[in-house]
Amino acid sequence: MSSIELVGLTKRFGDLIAVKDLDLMIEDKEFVAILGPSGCGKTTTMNMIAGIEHPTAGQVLFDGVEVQNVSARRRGVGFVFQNYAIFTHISVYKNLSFGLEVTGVPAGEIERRVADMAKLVRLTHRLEWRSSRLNVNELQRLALGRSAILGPQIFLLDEPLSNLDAAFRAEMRTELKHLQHQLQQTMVYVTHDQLEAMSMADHIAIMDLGVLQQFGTPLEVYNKPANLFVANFMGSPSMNLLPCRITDEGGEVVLDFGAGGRLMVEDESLLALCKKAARQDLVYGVRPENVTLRRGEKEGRGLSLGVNFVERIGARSIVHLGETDHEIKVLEGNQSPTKVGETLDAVAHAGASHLFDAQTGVAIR
Amino acid sequence: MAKLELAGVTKRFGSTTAVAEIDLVIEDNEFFCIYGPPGCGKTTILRLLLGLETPDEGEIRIDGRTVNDVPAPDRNFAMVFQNLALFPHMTVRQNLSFPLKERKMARDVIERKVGEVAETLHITSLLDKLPAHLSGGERQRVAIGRSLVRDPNAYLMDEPISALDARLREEMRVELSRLQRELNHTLVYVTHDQEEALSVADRLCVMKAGRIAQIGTPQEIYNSPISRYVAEFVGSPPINLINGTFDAGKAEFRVEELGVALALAGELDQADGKAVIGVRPEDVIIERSEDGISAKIHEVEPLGAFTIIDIAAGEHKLRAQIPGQPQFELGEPVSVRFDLAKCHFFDDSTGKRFATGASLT
Amino acid sequence: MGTEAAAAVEGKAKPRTLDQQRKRLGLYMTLPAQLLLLFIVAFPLVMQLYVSLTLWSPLDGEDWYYAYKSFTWFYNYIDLVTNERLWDAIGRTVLIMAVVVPVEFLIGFGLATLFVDSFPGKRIFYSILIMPMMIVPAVAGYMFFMIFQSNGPLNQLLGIDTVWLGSPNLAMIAVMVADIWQWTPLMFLILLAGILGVPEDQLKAATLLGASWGQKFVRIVLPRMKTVIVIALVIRAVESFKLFDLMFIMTKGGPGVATETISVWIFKLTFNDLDWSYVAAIGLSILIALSVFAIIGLTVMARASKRMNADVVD
Repeated sequence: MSSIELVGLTKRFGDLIAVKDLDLMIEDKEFVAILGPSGCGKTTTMNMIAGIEHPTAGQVLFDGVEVQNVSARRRGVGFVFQNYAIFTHISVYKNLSFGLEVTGVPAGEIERRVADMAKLVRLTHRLEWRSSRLNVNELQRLALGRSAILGPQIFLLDEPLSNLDAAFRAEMRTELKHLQHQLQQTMVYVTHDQLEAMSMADHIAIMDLGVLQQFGTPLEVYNKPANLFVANFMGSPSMNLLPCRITDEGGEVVLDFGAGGRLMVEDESLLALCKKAARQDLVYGVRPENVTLRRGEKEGRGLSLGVNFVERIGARSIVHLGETDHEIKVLEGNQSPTKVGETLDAVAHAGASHLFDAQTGVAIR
Repeated sequence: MAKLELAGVTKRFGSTTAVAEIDLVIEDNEFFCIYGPPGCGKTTILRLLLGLETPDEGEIRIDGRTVNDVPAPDRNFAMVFQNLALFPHMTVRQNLSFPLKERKMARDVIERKVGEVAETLHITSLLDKLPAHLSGGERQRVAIGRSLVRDPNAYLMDEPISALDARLREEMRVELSRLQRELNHTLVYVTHDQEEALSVADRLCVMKAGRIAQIGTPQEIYNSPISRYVAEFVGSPPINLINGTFDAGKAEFRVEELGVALALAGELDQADGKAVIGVRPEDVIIERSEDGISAKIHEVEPLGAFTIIDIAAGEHKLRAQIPGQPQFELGEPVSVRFDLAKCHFFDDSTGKRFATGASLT
Repeated sequence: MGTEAAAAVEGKAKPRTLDQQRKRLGLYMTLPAQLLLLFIVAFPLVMQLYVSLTLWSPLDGEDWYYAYKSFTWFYNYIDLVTNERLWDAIGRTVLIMAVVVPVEFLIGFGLATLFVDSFPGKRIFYSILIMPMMIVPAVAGYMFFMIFQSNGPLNQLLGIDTVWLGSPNLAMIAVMVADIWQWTPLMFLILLAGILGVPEDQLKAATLLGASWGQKFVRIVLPRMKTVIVIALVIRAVESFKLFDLMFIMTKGGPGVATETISVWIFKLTFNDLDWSYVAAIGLSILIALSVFAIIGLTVMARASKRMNADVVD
């Protein structure tokens, strides 16, 4: 029973526009990730939802009710800070009971609820410890528990996993998702890690320079990026993006990559995209997993490129081909036979190509 | 450029042993990674090499010469720090000439050397810029260039890019390995990030609690892990491990609850008893048929290029990594198979791998 | 090149390990500083002790090292303990300390809390507020000397003709007011730094958990500022014990000896009476007394901080 709606939300710090005219609808019980590089305005957006920052213009609505004039103290929003903001001068127990004590919950009930929450976040054996002694994984769980104990309907998390080591991060991703299912809350999650956003969120809002770039399900933003920024930001290894010109040679549509080579367009969906292009200067995009490397096929269907370097990362191999500035990456499996120095034909899978307007960066659909 | 050797090196701090009986040969011009969890002693090895610590036992050799008592400055290593430690108020040119000016070299010699180094590293056009105006990769080149002007024995790097964000890290590690190949120098690289370790290293050393667990090329480590520890520690998402029993007489591995019975190939030196099968997530095959182990879809994480699927087979939780974006419903019944040629079998008590590859009985 | 190094090169001595070389180097490098420190601390102390055991005065016409000619053992010290003027001076000094330090603390803390959030004109107020601290104490003393004259601005403003600096009790109050005016800013600065040192995220977190302003102050700010508060109080207590300039310029310890603090008394003994051996005895006694207090204080603080850092909190 808690949806969040942002309408024309804007925040200026002096001359700097941190968030610009942001419209966003987050449904009840949804897990939404706000994703972007540092300085994109994602944390400011979150702070405005929580009430720590006041918007310069626009509205924040919870369940259709304006709350931008309600103080942070009374919004009843759960918030986990990036550095956890644990009260290190008091015990774990006192941290958990803090919110209950200041809101005047009777002593007996506090004891019971702290015990329950301690069990949920697996800190029962640490309750009497000074919280400064906890390790980072425990601090993280304490930060979650301290907010969750008040039973907020809206939970905001600011890069809560960025301080954890890789193995525990993967574990916490799953755990957080289950926690959200259990607690049935609306969760907003700020991160700069696209993998985290992809794996956990129901919807992703991608921001850059204070402006919302795209809002959609993880696969929507991955498969149909709205512009160059989203295309480049989502996915690891990142999408191959090559500047090109579109030319017509005797009825055949050809993409000219300059020094990178030329490509005769045969793929029908790409052909359709080419026809919609309003300008000649474009950026061609294809994801590394949607390119196949072929040996000894001189049909001119792909780009013929030399292999520079092969990264073998366990299950995956990333092959780097082509000259500087026209370099492309291709994803292959563990058993990839590709060797440095080979010249191969890189062929994009049918329907997997993207075209962007070079000037505006907007995807051609 | 030098060959580095550690022979039987042990280092204790008070009653704790930081590293024990380390035998390591880092070949000339090799890109060598030391990879392990925090506190496994990898930084201690670097400090021992550098001469910041003295070994309690064993010898450290550079090109065959024992250097245990040679102080750090005389070992001629170049340490590249995590923050790269460029002087922010100096241009790239001034940063590069700094170590030479310190040695009171003639001005024209300095100019020539800086020019050469800048050429090698492709940073000639950046010479008059301040570090603040450079990209992360360019800064790394300058930091390396500064040590290159004095031609060190080897580069030592302690998690040089772990503080950067994911995308930049991806670019930097490619850049770094390109640089190493261009310079043709010995490079020792310490990291706790397995993607980094696997992607850049010629060979890597996996550490466990102060000891070497395995040394090999990234492919060897990943495809032929010597023990359960290495198999579990290298690979993300981690390898699936299922407990079962091994029958030496029939050369058969069984997991009763799942109805799995596998015939192991080759001569096996393994007694009857508990054993563990290890299957990498990418070797788990999910089908909508009746042939394999019956299981249910528990969780689906679409990550774009591939999808991670958690499956529940009875009490067992398995994780599969499938290329592309397959569609599965939560709770959907499926059947699971393994790519048997790539399954590993480990002894339950020692953790040692005793076989790889199997066939259905 | 040192002989050791030469020997090592010739291979006659076993080369030291790197660790040993490092330790030795550390010793050599700190040795000059250690010697200097020893000289600076030890010499004046020994000299003072020596003089205090004699009746030497510069009027004797002999240099201080001939003071043994009038050696008296502990006469000065015995005389000191029975000197009522000393005990009165100590009493007044402690009284001033007991009044000004708490007042300065309360006003300083109050002001510091006001300066946490921003408000229009904050910078100007801030500059005005810390200005008194910048003024030379002698000038401040003269300023208040003028203000508290019988025909001065204060009396004119209030339309009364009280003799402030001429009556024993009022003179004390006048000096205290001057001290509070001058040193509250220091208290304010230290405490403000302390408040600003409380992590902002923790205060935000407390707000989001529903804590009011007062609750945040009592539960987060105060406990986190314990150390800073102790430091501020100690600094001001020690300083007020040494109070001299304001007092000397405003009252010279008068009327009579009614506002005479220890510093003022020592000053008079030194420059009016030239009784330097007696002064040495007083100085040493105060040093010992203060050292005892300091040791007690530090032990208490150490114990408190040990409790703070203990694993388990109660």
